[in-house]
Amino acid sequence: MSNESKPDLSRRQFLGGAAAVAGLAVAPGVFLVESASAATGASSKVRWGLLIDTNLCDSGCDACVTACNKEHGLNGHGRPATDAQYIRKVDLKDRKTGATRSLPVMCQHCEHPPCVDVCPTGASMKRPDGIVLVDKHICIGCRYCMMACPYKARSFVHEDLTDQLPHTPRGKGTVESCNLCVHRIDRGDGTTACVEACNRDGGSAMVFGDLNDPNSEISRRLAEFGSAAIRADFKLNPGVRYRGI
Amino acid sequence: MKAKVQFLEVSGKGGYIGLLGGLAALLVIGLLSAYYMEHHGHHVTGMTNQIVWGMPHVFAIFLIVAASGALNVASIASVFGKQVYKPLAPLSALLSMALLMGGLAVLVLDLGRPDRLIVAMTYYNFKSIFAWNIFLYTGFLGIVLVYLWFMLEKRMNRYSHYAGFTAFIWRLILTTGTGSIFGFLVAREAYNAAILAPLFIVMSFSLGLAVFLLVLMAAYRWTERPLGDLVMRRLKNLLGVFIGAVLYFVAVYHVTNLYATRLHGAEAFILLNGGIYTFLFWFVQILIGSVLPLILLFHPTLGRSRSIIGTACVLVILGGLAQLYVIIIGGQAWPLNLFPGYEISSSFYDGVVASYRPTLPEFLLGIGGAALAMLIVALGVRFLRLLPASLADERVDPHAAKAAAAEPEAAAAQA
Amino acid sequence: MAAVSLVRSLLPALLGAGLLVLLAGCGEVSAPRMMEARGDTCVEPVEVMRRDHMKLLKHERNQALRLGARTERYSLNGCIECHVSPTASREDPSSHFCLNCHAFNAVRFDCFQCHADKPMPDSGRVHALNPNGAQHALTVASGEELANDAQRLVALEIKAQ
Repeated sequence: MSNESKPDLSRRQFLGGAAAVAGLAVAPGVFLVESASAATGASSKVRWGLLIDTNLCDSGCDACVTACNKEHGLNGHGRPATDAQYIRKVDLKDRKTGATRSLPVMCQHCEHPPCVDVCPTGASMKRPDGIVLVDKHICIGCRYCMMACPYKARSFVHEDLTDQLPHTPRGKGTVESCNLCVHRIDRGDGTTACVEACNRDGGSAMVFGDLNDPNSEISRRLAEFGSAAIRADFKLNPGVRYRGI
Repeated sequence: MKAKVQFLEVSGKGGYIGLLGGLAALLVIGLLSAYYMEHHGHHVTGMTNQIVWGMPHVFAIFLIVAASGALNVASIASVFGKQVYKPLAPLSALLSMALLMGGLAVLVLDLGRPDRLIVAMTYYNFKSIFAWNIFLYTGFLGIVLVYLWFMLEKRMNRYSHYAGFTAFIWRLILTTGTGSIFGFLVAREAYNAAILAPLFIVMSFSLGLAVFLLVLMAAYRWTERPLGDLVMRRLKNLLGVFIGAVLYFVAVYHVTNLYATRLHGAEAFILLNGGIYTFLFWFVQILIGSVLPLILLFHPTLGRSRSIIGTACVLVILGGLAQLYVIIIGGQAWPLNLFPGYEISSSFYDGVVASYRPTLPEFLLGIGGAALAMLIVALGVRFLRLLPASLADERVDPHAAKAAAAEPEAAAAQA
Repeated sequence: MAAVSLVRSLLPALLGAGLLVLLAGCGEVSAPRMMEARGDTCVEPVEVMRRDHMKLLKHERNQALRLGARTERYSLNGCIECHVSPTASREDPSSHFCLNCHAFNAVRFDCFQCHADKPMPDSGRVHALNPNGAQHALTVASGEELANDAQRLVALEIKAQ
């Protein structure tokens, strides 16, 4: 894909160039203000991640799931086998001891994501700040990423959608998954819908933050208590970490 | 002295128009099925977020694998210099291109966004095996087209050996690529095995030859051209060898997996308690798709009958479809193991065997792809001089035919 | 092969008939009735937007999605906040700024297969150029204004050649 910072405009723009510049200072008193972060974009110095403490996660609670569905407009069609799920609650029972655990599973935002490796067009991609996304503009719907993902994190849009939300474009024939509420991150909210809901309505089991910043809450907790990754044996270094599994 | 083989296009009379009409009708039905699936979205198929590749992929991969195998007859002639196979080489090349186009059509029409085919051609991620395959498939079509041209054009005949050699190497890489689509999927227990690449190569040998034999017999029967036992006997023995080779690789694959304790669950699912997958594996793939054809082909009297050879080819094809169904769908039905040592349950079908019920449009799309391949073959032999006017024994190899005639037993069989 | 020769002999007649039908369909074409935008000005002059909006949007899309470099200025949501009423509908293209013009020019686009096609009334977000907010009702632009726009475009087109 083209990464040039200026779009290749036709001659027309240069003819109307003077007017284009004037367009910046619009009607009296109204100015275009762009936030400072907009120009620079996501930084590779940052790596966003989640820490989930399964000791605090209650089996009956699905506050994070409900919040995610609301945030991204995942209304579903009442067909569980084909409806999208960005995040799901998984209940575990140890086969030997019978001990139980409950935890949310979503896209693990791997450092070495298999979905990105297998995608033929490069639609599966990892942003500089570690968020794994689907570029639905060039996704052809081959579903190879769904075959490759070890976490079953992805969904295919099996039917026509209407009334999508402005910040979560999604449509028939493309693959989608948890995007770590990228619209919130780019807006500077510093949290995701699931984490917000877990803190408000759940067991405060989830922390969002910058894994690369040693002073962030998530990094301090990771340093103090350690953590586990799901299927750490694949060595994908996921950005979503768990305690208590 | 060796008689020159004369190639003739088939006549467009009689049943030919009927054949074209039938194939075209199947193709249109396939296209309508694809439109139905795309218009409503994939929820009208049996495919789900658990079984993401379904019946269309079974057909598509069958056709693609058979495509590379169908070229074998030509390769044996030009790469290994077996003169007997030389008259069959043009049909072999045409059939391989046609099967590949049929398979690719099914694959493309099953995409979530087939309208974005141009995106697949313009955006590449070179780490993706799919992206390699796009080049392998288009390259194969190009190379075989040149190969066919070199065989048909007298002035280029002397180069056909080189083109044939290139095509042979290319097709080995191509099938390796097809097998690697599954072989490199580390997370799925049924895949993640390097042996899938050679397994797919030997599968291509047997499936491609079975399809080739059926097409050859049909073409010669319907055009009432002589097809001698000499050619048939060699080809059916070769098919038998290939079936044996597939069985060997299947055995090695499962024994290797059984050696690793962590894969016992997935293996037991296919081999013992997987319901439809276990049935398809043992009964269709192994028993009627491999063992029975082996018996039929190598039986001293049955193996000489044309209809028995044809039956064996159909069984091999059925067995191959069952094998791909078990690999592709059975491999997905067995759940991903997110938390080894735990029983897992969720709203997203974690830890349970996924169910898959293929729907009619998926079948019809796959059959439409096969019809496209056969349509291309039918048109090819009508407008190009690809089929030898006669494949009677004395035409193919006069010395061998004479020697065979001298043997009383062979003569009796021919009578 | 009688069918083939029949088709061959009929071909010129068929072509001629088709041409006549096409000519009969020609006539005065009136510009689509476009919705007026909220706010007083667009992010670029109308000539630039008419010709190059897709390039600006594509560039913005790649920068925003793949690099996280978002600008409010050229975002598709920004377009929609000013140009589309919250009550617009995909089923009735004449109520929708983008669909209306694309339908008139017979240019297929698939933005709205995935993207929201109208502003969220309670989103609280307002484009910097839109002082009235997404709630503000939209009216159909006057024909005179559109005619002036069209004349300006034609003049520029001639100058560019």
